[in-house]
Amino acid sequence: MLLKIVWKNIWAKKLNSFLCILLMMFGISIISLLINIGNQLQDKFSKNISGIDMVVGAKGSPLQLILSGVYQIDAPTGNIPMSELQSLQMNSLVKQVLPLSMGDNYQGFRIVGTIHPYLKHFEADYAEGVGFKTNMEVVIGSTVAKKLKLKLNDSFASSHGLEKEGEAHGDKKYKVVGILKTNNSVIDNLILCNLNSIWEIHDHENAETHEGEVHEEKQDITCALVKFRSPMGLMTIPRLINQNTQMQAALPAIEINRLFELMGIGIDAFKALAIAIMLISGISVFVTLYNALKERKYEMALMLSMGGKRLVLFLMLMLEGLILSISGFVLGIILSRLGLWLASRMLDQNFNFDLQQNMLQKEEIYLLIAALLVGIFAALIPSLGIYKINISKTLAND
Amino acid sequence: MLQTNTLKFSYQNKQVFSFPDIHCKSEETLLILGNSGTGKTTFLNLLALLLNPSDGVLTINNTDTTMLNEKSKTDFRAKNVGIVFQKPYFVNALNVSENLVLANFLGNFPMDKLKAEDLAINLGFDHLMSKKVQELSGGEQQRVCIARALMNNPKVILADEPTSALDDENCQKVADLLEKQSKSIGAALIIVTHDHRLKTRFSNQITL
Repeated sequence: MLLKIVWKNIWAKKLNSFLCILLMMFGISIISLLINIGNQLQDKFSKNISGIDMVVGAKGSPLQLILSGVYQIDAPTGNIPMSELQSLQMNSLVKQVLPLSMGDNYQGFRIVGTIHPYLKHFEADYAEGVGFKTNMEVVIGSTVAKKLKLKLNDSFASSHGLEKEGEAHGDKKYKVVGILKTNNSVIDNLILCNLNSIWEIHDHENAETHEGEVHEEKQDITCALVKFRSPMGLMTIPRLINQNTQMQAALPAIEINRLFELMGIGIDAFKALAIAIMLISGISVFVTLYNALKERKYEMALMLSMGGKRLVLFLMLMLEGLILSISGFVLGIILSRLGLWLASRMLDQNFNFDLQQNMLQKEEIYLLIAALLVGIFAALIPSLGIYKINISKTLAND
Repeated sequence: MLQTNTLKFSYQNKQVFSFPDIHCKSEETLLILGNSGTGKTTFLNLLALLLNPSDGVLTINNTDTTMLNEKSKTDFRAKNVGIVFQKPYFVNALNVSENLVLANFLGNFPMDKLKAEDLAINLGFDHLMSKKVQELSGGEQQRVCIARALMNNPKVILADEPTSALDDENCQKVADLLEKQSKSIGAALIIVTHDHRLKTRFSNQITL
């Protein structure tokens, strides 16, 4: 019966209740969306970064170098000669150097020339086939295989540049020799081959366009991922490279922190906005209940005169506030999942990057508690009014 | 059934009301008359246990109510006293039928829909049971209030100016219904009023 009264009262004030729920819903969904996207970005970013201590490449923006070299999302800074890496490889503090060479794509997926240890670094597993051995053989990531419907022994021609619309290298064709299992890292979106394949294609181009010129053997790479043997390497080598060579060294950990700090400002602004919306929702619950109590003073006095306990009526009003904020929370979470799905589709189309639909995150439980607190505080003051009602006076005076 | 003895009440501003001793048996009707300002409503609120007397004794159903604490008073009122207020108050979000069983619910009785139906038929508003209370006319609302006061089979029914807002025809009807229904459940009926139309209707009266 009590629940019925609560429900009917909410229903009797459809517009007011709708407004409360709407505000709460938007506040919750914005915060929840930010939490989810933030967490997943951080997750993906830190997974791809793990184990890589330093990236070397052509001079330019260090952040750009990291984004292009580690995450394969920005344009590369330029090329460096392979020979420059020799001395680095000799250094006793360096454990491993993974050279990467890019510049071509197939249907928007990057073709990256590298060496086998790069695959080992990500602990990549073959779903089918084997690793690349000779020139023009490629291993493709799971997303590439799925999206482009490529199978073993399929062949394709790459095009120049990192965007879909590049000049095609029509005469040389790549052949798929291996397909990787889903790895949840950047290699899902890559087409991998040996370094020679990349050089061969571009040498060939050069030979064609500059016919008759003396061809100089030049082996350039785009960047290299470096792992150190000890933290000592981190202390000394980046400075050495930046001061003494034509290359630059960038530290992923530092650059990514910087990136998140930059994004953090935007995220904080959004969060502040969302919290403001939630507070307004609280105020709207407060005003709704406060007015309701004023209008329903007679009802309350009547119920008290018929034997209703003040505590019961107090809880009844509190419940009204709580139901409004809880339904706002539930709808907000649903809306945020919907937004996540949309964002995931958009990111997938533009960046080959998708977001997972998660169960309730830890932060969202805190959000539920916050929503409940807003509901409780907004309902508390009006509900306490129950204890101030003088039955005989209220019912006798008009 | 209901009996008072030197009942007194004083407001904060030290205006003291002394009320005559009254006494009303089961199935009897007592009319309490008085002009405005004579403390009619105060007296009714005292009888309804909504106010506490400063002096005197009020006995209902053989219980000295002045000895009860606040909580037991609320329970006692829910069980023994049915009140028909001057204005028809309702819980507006609920329909007519729900407003009737609300009396059961708040008085801690099982909700008795059949009893509500019966009363509605007796009082002639059974076709309005699923309507919102605001959609009813004044006379209809007053009848629903009477039905609600009867829902818990109280020992005493108190009516505060039940007819003041009604025309002559409805006034007679409501008075008849009150008397008949109170008798049918064996309750004492006390009407507080200044309505002269009722003076000729009930012989047992007292003037403040």
